[in-house]
Amino acid sequence: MRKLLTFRSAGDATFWGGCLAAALILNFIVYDNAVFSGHWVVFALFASINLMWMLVIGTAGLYSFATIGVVGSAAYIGAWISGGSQAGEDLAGARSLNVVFVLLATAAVGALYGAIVAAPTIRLRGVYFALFTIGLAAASRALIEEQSFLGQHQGLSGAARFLSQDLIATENGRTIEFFVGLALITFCLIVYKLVDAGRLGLLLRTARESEGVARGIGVDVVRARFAVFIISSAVLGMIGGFYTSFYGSVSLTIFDFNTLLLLFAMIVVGGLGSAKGAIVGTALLLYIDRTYADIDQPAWRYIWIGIIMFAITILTTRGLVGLPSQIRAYVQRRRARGAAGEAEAVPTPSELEVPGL
Amino acid sequence: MTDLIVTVNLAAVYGLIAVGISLTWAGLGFLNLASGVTFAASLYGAWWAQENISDHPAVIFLGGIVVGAVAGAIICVAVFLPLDGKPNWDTRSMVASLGLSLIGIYTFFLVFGPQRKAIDLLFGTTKFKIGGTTITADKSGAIICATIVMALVVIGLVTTKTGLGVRALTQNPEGAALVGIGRKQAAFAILVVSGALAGFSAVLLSQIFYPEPNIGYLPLLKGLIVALLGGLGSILGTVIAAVLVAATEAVTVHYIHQGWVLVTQLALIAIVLLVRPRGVAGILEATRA
Amino acid sequence: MTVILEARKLSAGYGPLRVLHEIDLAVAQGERVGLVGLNGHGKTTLLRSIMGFVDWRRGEIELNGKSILRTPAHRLARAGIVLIPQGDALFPGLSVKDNLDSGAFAGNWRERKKRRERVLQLFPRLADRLGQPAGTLSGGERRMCSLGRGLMTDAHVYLIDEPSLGLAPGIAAGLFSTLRELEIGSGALVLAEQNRTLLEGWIDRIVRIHGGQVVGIEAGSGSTDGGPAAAREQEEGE
Repeated sequence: MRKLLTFRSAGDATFWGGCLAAALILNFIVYDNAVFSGHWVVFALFASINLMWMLVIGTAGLYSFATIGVVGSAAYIGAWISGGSQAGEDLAGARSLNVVFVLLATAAVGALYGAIVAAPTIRLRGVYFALFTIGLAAASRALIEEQSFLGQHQGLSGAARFLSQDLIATENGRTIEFFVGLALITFCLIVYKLVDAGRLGLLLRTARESEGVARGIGVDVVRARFAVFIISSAVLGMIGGFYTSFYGSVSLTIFDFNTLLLLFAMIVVGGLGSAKGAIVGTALLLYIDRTYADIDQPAWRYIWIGIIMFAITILTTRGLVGLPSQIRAYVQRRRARGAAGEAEAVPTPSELEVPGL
Repeated sequence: MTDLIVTVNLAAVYGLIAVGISLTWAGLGFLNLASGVTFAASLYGAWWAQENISDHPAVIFLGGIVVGAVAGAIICVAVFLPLDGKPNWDTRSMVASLGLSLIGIYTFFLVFGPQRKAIDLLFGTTKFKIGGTTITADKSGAIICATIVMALVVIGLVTTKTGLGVRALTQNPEGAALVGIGRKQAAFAILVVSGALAGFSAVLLSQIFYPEPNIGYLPLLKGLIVALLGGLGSILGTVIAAVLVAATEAVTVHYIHQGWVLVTQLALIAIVLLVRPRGVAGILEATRA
Repeated sequence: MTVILEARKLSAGYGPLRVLHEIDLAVAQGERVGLVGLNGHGKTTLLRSIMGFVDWRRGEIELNGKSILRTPAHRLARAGIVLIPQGDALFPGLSVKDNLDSGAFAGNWRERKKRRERVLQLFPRLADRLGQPAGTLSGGERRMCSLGRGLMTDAHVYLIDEPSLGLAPGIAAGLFSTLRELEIGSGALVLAEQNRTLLEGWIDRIVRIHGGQVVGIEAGSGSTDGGPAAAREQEEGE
């Protein structure tokens, strides 16, 4: 428990403290404002997805693009088992047991999906693996689209929700949804921290940097990768369950390529390899997405996202959250170079002198 | 028989894009995701040439090719050169090219509107018969043009000095530097030619699809699949892979359903790569030995 | 005696590892220098650091009096420095002919056919394999191809890294007899070689490298500066 609450630096503590404060303030805004409440739900879902995705792409260094496939597939299963149907018969009220059952079931679906995604990592690497995950997501979509019991083109509606019928679109309802969303993000942060800062994260990072060395020192690379995929996908599946429980419905638009693109932009802009990056990137790009979604011309939304994606990758080494340390390192290098008056700067101040290389 | 025509047309388009992706990746280590916007830009260039210059087929093709080449040059200057050699440059250049693609595609959306633009039938409307099936001039014209262009690319690679430089770069970057092949200059050549190829294939594809902004992604993905299946850096492998991938697409659409195309194509790659990790090029090498 | 290539207080390394320690080396026009020393003590790193194929360098490197620290490797090739590296750095999928021709990329591209003929006279075995991919050549043939590629231009400075490495003694000897005939004119030749006997009779100066430093300089038996006795005296004085 103590490990969860230790921060790496004062900067980190400030950041998370700030997030907590922001969350408390947001609660009051959401209370009154239906539109903002909608934004918050999307933020909660996206930030949670990105936190789990960050474990796979950032910590493990595996470029999986099956994220939306997991969330969408689980969402569909969740919607169906909680009574959703194509015609959308309106179930009277949310039976809370039902929602909990949905969350557990979707987590299980996610875990199973995760095992399928993980399997090829035994042999496939890099872009080959990425392509496989794209294919897997496409297969999921195609499979779902064909099933009549899953609503085909209309999708499913009338699924169980967090809010009972009388609470929907009320202030109290919005407050409940706010805290459910907050709980989801917090849960994902905890999972992220437990994996990334824990032993599994260490094993994954070692395998990421140098797989041969990792195997040589006895790291079971395959098992570690299976573990991270199953854990992150289980949570992703559960997020799919949250999706249906928020909206009471799901359709094929959940598999939209543009959504995947937006999510990818979020984690890249934020910075691969940290929870802060996931939160910051999601917040920034969602803000832009929502701001420009209101205007008549939807094209501007993607143009701005493209501009930010482009600018951040050109200018920063590790995304926005890496910027402070990048600037510090740059200043340090300029100073060191100035003092020594050298043509080329030495990368590290301390030099190990090792003869025989 | 119609399947065969469709297959060959698709193979031509995918193959041309794939050659560009393959050379860029094998030669520079850069996965160019902006080839999607290059595609779209070339279509608009071809359409603009048709509306404002002349509707002679050569002019329309040239419009597409020139705009494609310019797009390639822009990608080189805006994405590759600033990032080459910097930390994490391979991931960053890939993402930056994606960002550029978004900017480009949606700027076209803004400027030209979402309506589709029609490009004239470039090869006329004559038909002829082979073995009892009618083949229209546009489909066969596409195949003939694509073959000529591919042949020109191969000739360029094999006989010219720059071509040798590009081929050397795809084999051994250090060796290339040792003999005086400049990475930046080679990058420019590779990206401009890839852009021109994408532009040309865009115009070919316009005979089947109308130009609209979002047309970029799918050809890029298919081009990537073909490039990987063919074996990076191998032109012959890429050509064969293009035929295989296009055939898979035609068969899947005919016998199963459009939605499964990506799945079957990726299953194809999976099978081939499990047997020969170097793709079709690996199979060719094995048979040569 | 004009100095054509000079390294002053050159330190270099990979990442946090320092391999070369403030090396001073001056190579004169027309000189053939041999670098000897045990494996892993900096001979290869010295040659590579001249081309810039190391993570970092400190000190100074000059070609004909002008600093080349900021010059990228491919421009050095055009300026007339040719490195024939360990491992050959051939283009395995390209034919032997293409590999040789690539050597003329930086220089006299138009006269490459003539050059190629000359190289093939030096290494006749390559003539039989001209159309074959370089990746299918034997070890000795690969070395010949790599050397041949280096000889396709008029280089000023030849840097040759362990040409006998991995070769049977007979083949290595044959290779070296070709190297001995090499005309360097007003250029220079720096050859890293573990096997000192191969340097007998044609190297002007031998530089001993140990632990990333120069620990001895002797006149080689191909020089006119005096025999082995004089060299030993020089050494004891270091």
